[in-house]
Amino acid sequence: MNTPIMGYSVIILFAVIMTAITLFINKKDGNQNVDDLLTAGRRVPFGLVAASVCVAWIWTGTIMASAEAGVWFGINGGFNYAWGAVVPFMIFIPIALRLRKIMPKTTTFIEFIRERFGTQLANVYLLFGIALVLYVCVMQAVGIAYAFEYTFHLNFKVVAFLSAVLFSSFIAMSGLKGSIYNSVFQFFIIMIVIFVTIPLIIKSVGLENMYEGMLRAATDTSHPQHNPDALNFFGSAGWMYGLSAVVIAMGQVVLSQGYYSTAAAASSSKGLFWAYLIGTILAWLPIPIIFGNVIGGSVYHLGVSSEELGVSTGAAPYIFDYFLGSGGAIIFVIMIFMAGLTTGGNGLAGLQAMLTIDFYKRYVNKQATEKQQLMFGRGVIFALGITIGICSLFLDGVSLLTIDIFSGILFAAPTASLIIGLWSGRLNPKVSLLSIVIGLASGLTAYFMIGNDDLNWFVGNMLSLFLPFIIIMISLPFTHKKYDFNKLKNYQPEHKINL
Amino acid sequence: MSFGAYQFFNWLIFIWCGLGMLFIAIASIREVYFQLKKSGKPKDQHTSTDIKM
Repeated sequence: MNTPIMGYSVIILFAVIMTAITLFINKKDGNQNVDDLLTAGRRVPFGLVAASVCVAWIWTGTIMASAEAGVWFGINGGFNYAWGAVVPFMIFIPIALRLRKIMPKTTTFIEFIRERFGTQLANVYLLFGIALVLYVCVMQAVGIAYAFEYTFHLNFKVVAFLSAVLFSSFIAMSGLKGSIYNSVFQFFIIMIVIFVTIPLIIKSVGLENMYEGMLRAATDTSHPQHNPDALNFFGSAGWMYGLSAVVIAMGQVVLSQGYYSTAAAASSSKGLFWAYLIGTILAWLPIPIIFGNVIGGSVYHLGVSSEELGVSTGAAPYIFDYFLGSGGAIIFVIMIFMAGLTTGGNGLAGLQAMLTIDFYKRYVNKQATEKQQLMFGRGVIFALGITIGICSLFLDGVSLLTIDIFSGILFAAPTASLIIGLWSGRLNPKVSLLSIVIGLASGLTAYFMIGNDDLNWFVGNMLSLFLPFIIIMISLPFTHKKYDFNKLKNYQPEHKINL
Repeated sequence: MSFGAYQFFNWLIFIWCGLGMLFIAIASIREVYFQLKKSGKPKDQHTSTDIKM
């Protein structure tokens, strides 16, 4: 059953479904102008935004890396992955609401940075924003390719390339609206998969056996996953990882235009608030905890070593295959495929907005008509899909968790000036830029210079996030000139807005 | 952690996840239904599909 033909059939099936969604959207109301393409016309109701946010934040890593965290840290692995990744959303919600209030006609956070701090800093953020989406999409393509390689023995490079091209061509044609409708459809599939497969695995293994496996791992030094803290909910290694997950996810959320576009698409501020709160805390948060507990507990019960699990993110597919047979493995791959397609799609929808508004219209063709902008938005996303596919070819064999941890250092540094700049009029562009440079440089220096591999990633992440906050907070009392936020209320973008 | 606490923790998370996902599922089905209904009546421009919270 787990043949390469079956694997390619799954890819083709999803290509057909996504094409059908695109045709449905274009037939229903089409993408009439730039704002329709980039913000779905700003009329998306609460439930669809909540489903979209929940699924967009279910990365391939949410399932595979949280399972891995359950194996690494025991009972608190999944929990620490989860709370660490959800805290940035609790910071993002006030950011999105504030941006909507002070600058109602903005689409991208780059537009805000340009008005608030000037072009130089806006270009710095544009670079970070583009790099982040490319990184996110490459991660999804790699995660999908691992799952297909493991289950169907398909060529890693072929799957990574195909999946990148698939989600980019989908977004190129259907924009944010396509991303949201696709997310809603895939939300239901992911929900069904979780509520069918997880109880089946628990039934096959037994909660008692999972518990006993963890107890053995905690007390028996010959257990392949020996960890004295396997059953200690307050084990320090897991909590250190959770704190680091906050930093890792902070940049991934606060600098991801996809979430700003989804926020702009919400039909009301109240709907946006509840959709993000319910989509993350109520629906998303328990998912990585479940995967960490169930997959981690199953691995402890079986007593398999990390080498036997295959590539370092192979714990989840191994357990699905082991306990549910080939059918379970296929269902797992479909879930990973959907998680990757929706996250990649959401990221690319945001990138489409940034490149169309903040790059093409501003630097390439200042006189561009709405039609030309639409054409550029579609073409550039398709081209970037190919670029993402090519980049992911080089990551065969690399651990998703390792890449994830390193990305925190790269993307955490610019969050401080964006967050503080939204509320404080005293923050000036020079201090903002300085805080980014110092935060990034110190984070990277710590990562590469500290010899202890258990400490370097943690110190690097902490410095990259918190040092810019400290620099900015120290500078604020010395700045006398205050920025007037009222100016932003009258901001008029260069394309028609559906408000 | 005792086995009782471990069991309670797992059940709690599973029920929490179920309630959260079910809530969104019902809300989104309701909205998709109203959107489809609305698109069947193109002249009615004032029908709101937004949930009043």
